[in-house]
Amino acid sequence: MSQAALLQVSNISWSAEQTNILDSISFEMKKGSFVGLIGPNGAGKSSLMRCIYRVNKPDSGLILFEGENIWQGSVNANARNMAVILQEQSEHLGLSVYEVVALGLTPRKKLFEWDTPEDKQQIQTVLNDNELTHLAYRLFSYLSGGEKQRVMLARAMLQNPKLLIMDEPTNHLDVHYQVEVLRKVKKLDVTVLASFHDLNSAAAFCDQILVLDNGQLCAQGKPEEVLTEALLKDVFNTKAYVDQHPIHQHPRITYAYHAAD
Amino acid sequence: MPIMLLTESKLKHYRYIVFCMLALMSVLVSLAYGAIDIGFTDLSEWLVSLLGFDSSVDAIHVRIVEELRLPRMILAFLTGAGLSLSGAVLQMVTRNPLADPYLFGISSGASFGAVLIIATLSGSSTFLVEHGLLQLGITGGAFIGSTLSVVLVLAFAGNGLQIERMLLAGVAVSFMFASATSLVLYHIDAQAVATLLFWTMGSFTRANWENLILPICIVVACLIIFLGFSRQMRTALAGDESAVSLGVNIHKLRINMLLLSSLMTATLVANTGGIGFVGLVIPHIIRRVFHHYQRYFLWSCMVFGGCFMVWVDVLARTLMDDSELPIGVITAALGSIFFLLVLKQRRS
Repeated sequence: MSQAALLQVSNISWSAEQTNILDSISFEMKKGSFVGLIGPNGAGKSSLMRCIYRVNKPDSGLILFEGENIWQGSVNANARNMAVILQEQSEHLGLSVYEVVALGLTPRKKLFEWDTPEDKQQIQTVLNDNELTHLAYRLFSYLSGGEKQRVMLARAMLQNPKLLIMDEPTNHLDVHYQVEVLRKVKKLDVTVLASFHDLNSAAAFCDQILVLDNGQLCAQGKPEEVLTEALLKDVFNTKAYVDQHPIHQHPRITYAYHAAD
Repeated sequence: MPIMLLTESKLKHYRYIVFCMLALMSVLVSLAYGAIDIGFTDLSEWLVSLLGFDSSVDAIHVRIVEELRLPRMILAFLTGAGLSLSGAVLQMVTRNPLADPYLFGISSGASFGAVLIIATLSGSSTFLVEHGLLQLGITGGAFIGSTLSVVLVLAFAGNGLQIERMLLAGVAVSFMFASATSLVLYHIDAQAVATLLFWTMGSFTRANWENLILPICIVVACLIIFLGFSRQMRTALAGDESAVSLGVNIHKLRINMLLLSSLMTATLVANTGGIGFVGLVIPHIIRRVFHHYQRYFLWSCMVFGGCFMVWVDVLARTLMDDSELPIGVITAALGSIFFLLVLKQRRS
């Protein structure tokens, strides 16, 4: 057990309707690291993240955040430590962008505690940081997918967590915003756990990659250690070539779209 | 698309002015008009006399205003405010824009409980009536009935809280309790049936100062609790998983808020009978008009819903010359048209 571990997951298993979805998974996340979670559809990526943000209670195993068992604390205590950006957003019936972002204050507010001028200042700041000021009083449900994603990032920033969990953060985004969102998150002073379908984004931004297959953690390590042609064949059943990115120091994956012969 | 109607600061002022004017006008009109038109002159004389000045106001008019119309107006306001609040809360915690105490079967459950208590107790003992225990009994019966509907609707709607399933479950539960109510009505004597039937259609005729205490206490207490939990309830709109990730124990919150809104609905139903669709219509209008200022959503629903009901009561008293219309008939007529419009709009 290293000193700087922010999150320790040891031996967790979780099943739904008599099917094992997660099978004794263990890993650690260092403070300040950017950890990517990859794996084929149905591998259990979202289920694993749900265990960490307290929606799925593991059947066995322990999840420690800064050494404390997260299932022993309250829902609220957990929300003060971690923020979550989900893949799909609800319509937020009748809430404006401002109000959706302001939900980020919830974990540190008691009942009957209204927004202070400082809170309002903070909301303005995160709206501004995410280029949302001009959209502040629009209905959330009218926004485009990319705009919604920015609103969620703004909400998470206002929540000011130690750990940010993102399920497919680049889904629904065009190339510009895919890169933009990940860059922005990388610059924040926060530890990140994010799942990816786009392996090149994972290779570019993660310090550590976890590979899930069929509910089991089958590989973990630095992108250049994990993302190999053999693993892509094994886990994703995909023929791909891996070399170094022409400009940056991380692996680049090129898929073989057509059969070689 | 109605995107930027008014800026935030302008909206703030307009809202207060509009609400104050609306409330004041509702009060005056409702006190001045009815079977006997008192008129604004006498009404202002009465107000002057309240302030301790001499005035030549008709003593009968004073009694009509003080003993009949004032408690009746307060009951109407409370009912409108409480039902709108209840609808708003139901819509928030179930994320279902069509939720309403009436459509969810809460009102019919409450009606059934109340009718059952009235039918079994009212003839039997004057002791209960004298000590105000009958009202308490009716409210209790209504609460048990309404809680039963909430439990049934939630049980049949399943985990997903899908809009369609909840509505269908609500309709089914509604019919179930309506038929049970009819069964009770079928078995009691004709005179009691007439009274009860009129009551199930909604009326404020039985309003008096004594009967107001319980509804006032419960509506005010529920309002305070709802305001305290309003931030938590807004997270429910973000979805259950998001709510948990924002530190809210969503299942507990949902059950508690549903129980409170059914308690409030039950209290109002016990005093006024079945009044439908207010809880659906008012929050919709508020969302449409003040959509980018949700923080005052509950307040706005309450004030607007209260005023709306005061006006409905004025209509009920004045539309026909020789008799009163049941309140539920007017709200259901207005509300069902509104409901169809909402459905049409949701499709497009």
